[in-house]
Amino acid sequence: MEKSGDVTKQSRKGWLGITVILSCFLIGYWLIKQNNFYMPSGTTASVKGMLYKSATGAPVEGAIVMIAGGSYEHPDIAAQSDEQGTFYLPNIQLPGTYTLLINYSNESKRLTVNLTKDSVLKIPL
Amino acid sequence: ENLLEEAGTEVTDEEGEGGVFTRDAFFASYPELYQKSISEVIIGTDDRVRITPTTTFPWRAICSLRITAKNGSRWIGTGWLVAPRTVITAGHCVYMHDQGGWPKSIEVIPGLNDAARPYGSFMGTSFRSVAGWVNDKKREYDYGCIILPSNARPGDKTGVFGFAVKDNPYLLSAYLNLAGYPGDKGGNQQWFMARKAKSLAPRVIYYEIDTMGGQSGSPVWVKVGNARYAVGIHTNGLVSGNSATRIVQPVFNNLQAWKNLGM
Repeated sequence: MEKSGDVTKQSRKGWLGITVILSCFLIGYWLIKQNNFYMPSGTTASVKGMLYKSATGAPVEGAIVMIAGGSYEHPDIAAQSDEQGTFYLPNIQLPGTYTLLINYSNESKRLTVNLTKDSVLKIPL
Repeated sequence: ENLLEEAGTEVTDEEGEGGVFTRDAFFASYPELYQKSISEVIIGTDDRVRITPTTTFPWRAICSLRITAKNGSRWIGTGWLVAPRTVITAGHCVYMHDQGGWPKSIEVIPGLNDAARPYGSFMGTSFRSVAGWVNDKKREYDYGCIILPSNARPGDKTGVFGFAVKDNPYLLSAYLNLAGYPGDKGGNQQWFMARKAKSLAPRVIYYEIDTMGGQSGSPVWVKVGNARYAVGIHTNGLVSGNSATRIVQPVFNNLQAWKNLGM
């Protein structure tokens, strides 16, 4: 027959275990909230793109390409297309959906794209 | 409580002349208008303000950056002077992991204002960042600098920012100022906005200050009397809150060391 003291010890161990587990959960939750962790899956990479004039197919140099919004936070650096119309988006979380804003010759174009690490953008202006 | 402070340049003659409007003092002087501006953000207006002319302090100490990466790709960012030859910016402006690493060159244009380059432009080829960014690509370590050549000393004319470590209560109650060169305005105009912080992490400041690509590296500063102290380096955009690398003690120590390199 168990002594009443043994039952008390076992109860205490059980409550102690529950308390430890709960504390770990609460501490972990607090840490996540404090640090605004997003915990995305996938990878980060740069995506290449090319701008061309829709009427002639000629490359567009000097356009400014920015990320205006998207699934994940992104570096706030802007790309500028070169003489081949080539630009690169900064390192962003992929796969993801992003809204691009392109400024060129006093005009602008906004488009939303679904990107993967293998994406290559070809954008008519 | 001020934990660590590195003083910048004090107010200049131009700013002291009667009636000159200093935007970063505006909300501190007119808090009722701050409340009004918040409500305007809620209904979707662009609350950025164009800075022109850019020939008064601190605006003239903020620089447009034209970055040529190692692989030849081109980028636009923002930086700010803390010494005659030291320009602080985002780590991802001076070390680009997917573009070959350290850039070929960065053209620094203090106070750029459309076609006007009131303080000229300078080519930088010497860069600094930290292992947490270069090796580990950690967002909390996203900061760096450009050290200009010995004969390029724009900070002597423009004045320089101070920088400081501020604790959580201070940062949550202060007006945070941010100005830089957004690409959606052509990348040649300086635009400004001020807000209080939205939230803080140990090494990141979050805010709802409107920014756009091209403003990476912008100073996030507080105005204390007539002095400006940067408390963060703007780096990231996100709909729920843009953010800056927070100046904490290790960051402060590096900024101070880089400042000394550019004296």
